[in-house]
Amino acid sequence: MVIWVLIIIALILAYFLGLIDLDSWLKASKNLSVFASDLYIRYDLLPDALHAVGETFIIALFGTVVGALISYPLSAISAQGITARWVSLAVRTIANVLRTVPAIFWGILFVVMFGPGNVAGAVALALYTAGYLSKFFYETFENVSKEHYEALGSLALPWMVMAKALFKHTEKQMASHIMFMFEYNLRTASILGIVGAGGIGYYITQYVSILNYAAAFTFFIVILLFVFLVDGVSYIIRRRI
Amino acid sequence: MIVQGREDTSVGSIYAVETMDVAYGYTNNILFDNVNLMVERGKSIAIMGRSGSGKSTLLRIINGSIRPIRGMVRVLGVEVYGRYSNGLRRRVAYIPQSLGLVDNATVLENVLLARAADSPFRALLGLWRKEDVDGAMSILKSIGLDEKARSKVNMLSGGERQRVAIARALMQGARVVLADEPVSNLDQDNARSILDIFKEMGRRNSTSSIIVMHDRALAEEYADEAYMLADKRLSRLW
Repeated sequence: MVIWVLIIIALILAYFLGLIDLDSWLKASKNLSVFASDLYIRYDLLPDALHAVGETFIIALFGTVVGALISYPLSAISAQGITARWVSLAVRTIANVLRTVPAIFWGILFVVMFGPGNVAGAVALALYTAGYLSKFFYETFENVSKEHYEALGSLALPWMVMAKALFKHTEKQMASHIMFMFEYNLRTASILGIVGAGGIGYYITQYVSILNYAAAFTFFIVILLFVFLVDGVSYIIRRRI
Repeated sequence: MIVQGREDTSVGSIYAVETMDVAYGYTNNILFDNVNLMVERGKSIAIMGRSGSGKSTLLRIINGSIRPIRGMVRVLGVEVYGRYSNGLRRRVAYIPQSLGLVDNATVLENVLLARAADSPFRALLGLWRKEDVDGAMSILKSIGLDEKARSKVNMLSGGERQRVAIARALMQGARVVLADEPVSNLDQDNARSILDIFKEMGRRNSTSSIIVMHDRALAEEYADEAYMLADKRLSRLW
């Protein structure tokens, strides 16, 4: 029954979106075949593509490292049981805002502030990462057992020392979260260029706008292979942590 | 009396811990009621009972982690209202079943944490005073762990980890130690050596210990007094 309802809804929406139109499908397949005929690797552009991947890597790494540094104090203050409830709620709200606004919107903001380029992308990712890792970190804190908190609590530790002890206690999970975030940021840094915030996405967008699909495809394949490589290495490291 | 370089300023009754008519649970589901426990300074008390009888909860109430629904708890002569004052806080060490150690930190770092409240910035930077390090090493030596001072606690055996938790309580200068099943997962030799340390703490520093345990034979050997928590009541065994 549910499936039939979904099918009917999909058909109605497809009609209104203009998808039930044979002409548009014929035109789309023609465009695809033209596009596909241009999809080949331009070996002469490989050095440029590798350079762009390097830029993307640096943006993602900067965003992850600085974001992690910001999220350390944010998460320590946000976690319940370390600071007063109202303080934790206030800081948690700030972290939520950082995380809820998509990275690409932060990219637009920083392109306006710093102009197009890698700086805008790096700062945007740092802010977005701070929001995300804060959540990962404070949830990790809150998964530590109550009894553990109570045992450390009997030492009357000031909150900063308590936070340091908990970071140390959970450092393997924290490292795993940071690795995961780096993988995520590498993919995000690849598309931030669409709004001018640097990285390989910037070059791909430029090539697509002048219909040079072979060049765009070359850059795309290089970043795809690089992301696979980083995902694999990261997976191995996270399993060993 | 001097406890790890600090003067013991606790005043009050001869009892380290007093609970009067303590009850915990919900109105329709009382876990225990009318719990009266008087622990003299320097004594070792064993609390036994089946799983789920409320032994751990009673320890947490004495630790000030949770509030009883009725009754009164006094520790070192000071009434506890769900939370300790900071002064009293450090006089009571709570060792849960999970031990509350900082994994990935070394044995020495875990023990030194007991002094972090005295110099928080040093603790943050890991720049401990020489006298604190010497004090910690001396405690570790007394319980046979000085050679493992630089080992990470998650690399230690269960018995060794238990000793680290006790070393931290000693470094803390605790006058009351609340230990939740400290010997349950240990072999008899290890269990005896841990209980020896509690006994020695009582003899040397007048530190009282309330130990939740299951092994009646061991309790008979080590505990000055023993209680059974069963059928919602705490009754004295000896």
